[in-house]
Amino acid sequence: MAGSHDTPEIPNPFRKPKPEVKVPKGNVTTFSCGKCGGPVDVRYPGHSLSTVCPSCNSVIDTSNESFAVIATYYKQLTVHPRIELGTRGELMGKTWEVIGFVVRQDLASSFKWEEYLLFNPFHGYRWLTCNNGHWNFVTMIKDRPDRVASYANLEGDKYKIFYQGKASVFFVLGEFYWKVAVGEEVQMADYILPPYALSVEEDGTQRVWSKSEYITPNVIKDAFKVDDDSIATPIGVAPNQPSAATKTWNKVAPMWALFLVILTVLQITHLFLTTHSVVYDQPIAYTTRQEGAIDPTGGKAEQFTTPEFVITKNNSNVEVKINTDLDNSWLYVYGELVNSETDETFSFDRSIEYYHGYEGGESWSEGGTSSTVLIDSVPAGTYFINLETDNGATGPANRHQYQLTLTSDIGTFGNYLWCFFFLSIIPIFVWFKSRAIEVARWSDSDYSPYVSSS
Amino acid sequence: MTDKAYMIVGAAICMFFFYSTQSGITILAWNAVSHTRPVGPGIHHK
Repeated sequence: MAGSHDTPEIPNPFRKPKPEVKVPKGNVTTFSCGKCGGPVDVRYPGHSLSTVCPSCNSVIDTSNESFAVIATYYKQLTVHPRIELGTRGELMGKTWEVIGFVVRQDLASSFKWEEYLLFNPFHGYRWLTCNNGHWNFVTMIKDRPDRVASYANLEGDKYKIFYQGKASVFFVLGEFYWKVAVGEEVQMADYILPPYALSVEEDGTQRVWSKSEYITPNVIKDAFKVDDDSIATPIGVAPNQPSAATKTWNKVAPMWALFLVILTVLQITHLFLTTHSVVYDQPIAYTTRQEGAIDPTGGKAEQFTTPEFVITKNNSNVEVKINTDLDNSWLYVYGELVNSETDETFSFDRSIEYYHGYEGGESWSEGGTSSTVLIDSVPAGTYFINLETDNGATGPANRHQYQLTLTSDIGTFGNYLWCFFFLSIIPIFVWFKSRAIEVARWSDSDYSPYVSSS
Repeated sequence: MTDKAYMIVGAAICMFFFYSTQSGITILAWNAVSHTRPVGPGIHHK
């Protein structure tokens, strides 16, 4: 949009909304074009300062009844507006008539967009812009936003700069409130805060600010009864198109932070309150097999039952640790933690293997000499353990031993890390989705925060 | 919609975590998995 107009709507919150008054048809004046002789209509003679001949695209002065031709073009271009001039539609609760159509282009990139001038005798002028199939309802504002660095501030909201450049009028049709001319240039800047945007245009004599609100193509279709072929499918993400993912991310991110803080506080408290009580810690002896001899156990595993011990904390976890002196061998331990009062049994098994050697000029090792197992939710009470062991020693028969250590109520990190992971799935997914949309939004901007300056 | 669902799910996870610290439950504990009886050296001395 260009030029200025003096009838922007100033909302008054204390004023009762007026019932919508039926908008009268304009008092259409028809005259012959001074250039080609074709008929030219002026719908709102008292408001329009110029109109464009639909036959030869000459711009005609309508400020007086001489209807002088003020600009003619050797090269006649024809661009068909998506909404026919003279079409009326209800938008933002008011009835608007499309009276002008401008195609403008960015001088640096030749990117073009369309602007439709709307008029209502009671509410003045508005604009509809169409950019890559994305629509905006534009109202000129009297407020002058503060421009600080790459932001424009209006009514406490910060709008980030998206575009700055020079634009010119490429094609024009209809009537306007200023003397429009193809090739007319203005310096422009757009600032965004989806779904709104602020635009400023300067032509050396005046500076005009306007505020845009994103509207979906379906709203335009419904308002002006335009068929689907005329309203193109939007391409990409518009500068001020609202993003549901970004909106969700802005709500989810603080919740995510809060949940992680709660989780971490609970974990620290948990670690602080756990007692790490060693309830049993004794060596257990076992005999290795004689190499080549018949199995001394007759195929049965070697068995052992520990003395009774007491677990004092109810529903605590119990860590069983088996520490061996294995050397190129294996040890298999099957155990049952038995409550001597209730006979409740918690079974576990561990296989421990440790091999090492020197081959091909380098040392190797495999496995380890100790293993742990965690038993959940063990009630308080008196317990003993039944143990069965088997081993894979192949040397001479010998007595060996392993250290069995039971620790009750130990602090663990597993639950914390799993809950951390589960809490992060949705926020990370939403963040990626939001970021993809924002990267697409800013891909056409020289001020993208997602592009490195290097 | 997603944010409301996340609020409920997140609160449930935090409550479950608190319950797990009180009841000695371990989520997906790798060292609670049952072992099979070994058969000897695996990689180097088969």
